[in-house]
Amino acid sequence: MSRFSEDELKLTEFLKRHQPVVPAANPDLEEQLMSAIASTPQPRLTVVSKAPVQRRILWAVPSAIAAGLVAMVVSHRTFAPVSQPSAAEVAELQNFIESTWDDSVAEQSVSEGDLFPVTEDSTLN
Amino acid sequence: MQGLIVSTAFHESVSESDDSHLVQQSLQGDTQSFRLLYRRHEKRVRTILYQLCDVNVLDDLVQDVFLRAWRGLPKFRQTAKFSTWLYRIAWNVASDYRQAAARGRTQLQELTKQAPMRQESPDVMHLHYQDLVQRGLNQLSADHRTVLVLHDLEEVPQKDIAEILGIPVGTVKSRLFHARAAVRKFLDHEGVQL
Repeated sequence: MSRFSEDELKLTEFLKRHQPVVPAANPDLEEQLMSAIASTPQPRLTVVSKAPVQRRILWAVPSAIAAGLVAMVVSHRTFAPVSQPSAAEVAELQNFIESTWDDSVAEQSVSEGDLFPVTEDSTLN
Repeated sequence: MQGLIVSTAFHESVSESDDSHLVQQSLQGDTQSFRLLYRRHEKRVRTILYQLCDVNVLDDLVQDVFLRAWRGLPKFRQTAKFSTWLYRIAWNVASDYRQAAARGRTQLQELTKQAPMRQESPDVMHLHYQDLVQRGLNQLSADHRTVLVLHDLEEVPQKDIAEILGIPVGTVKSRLFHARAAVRKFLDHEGVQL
């Protein structure tokens, strides 16, 4: 319900009191309408059940996602190259690791010596 | 005041439930129930159309509204208010008519020209004020006039008007505010002191 200020109330009352008189209907109008209605049958609502269609659509979405995932995994396994290193590659890799390891150990011992040089001053401390 | 509100709400609720029953009966093909619906709502429908359309075609348009309602009844949602649905049809009929009647002669001129012909009251001041109110309404846009007539003259709640016209309640409030301001200005200009 809207709140009226005093001014609005006065205006509304004035409009209501002096509102234009709507011309009366033709006395036959009601009967004319009723005879028009009698010759106008009400269209029956054909109830189209949308629920099964909607349910089918709802089921289709997760099914499609699941099917897509399965297809992706299967195709990846099928078509992706399986990398099996040969014996030569394994040997090469082993050599590389060993040489890298030796180098790193050697560098570390040198650097440690640089970091903590044995001097007379240090022995005094 | 509170008693009046409660009484009005009760009356409205009873009226709506009666409408609902009559709608159910009409859906069963009971034309006499539809006749009762017509008698209940004909005046308001007529008033809405009168404010928006040519008086000469008023009866035809009223008939058109109720025929459309009869045909559309099976599609009417039972949860909605019948009156709101019916006034929405009236608004649509009026809009269709106005679009079709967009010719040289304006509706406002027509209504103004006819205003003095429908006076029957002997009270001269009343006749004068009636003429002013009609002219005040006529100078409003159709949108503003519709809201003012529905709310201030027909006492349709703002929420229902929003539903009838398919606009937000805020727009109804805004149109009502501007419509009242315009009518007040017009009346003031014509020397009416409220």
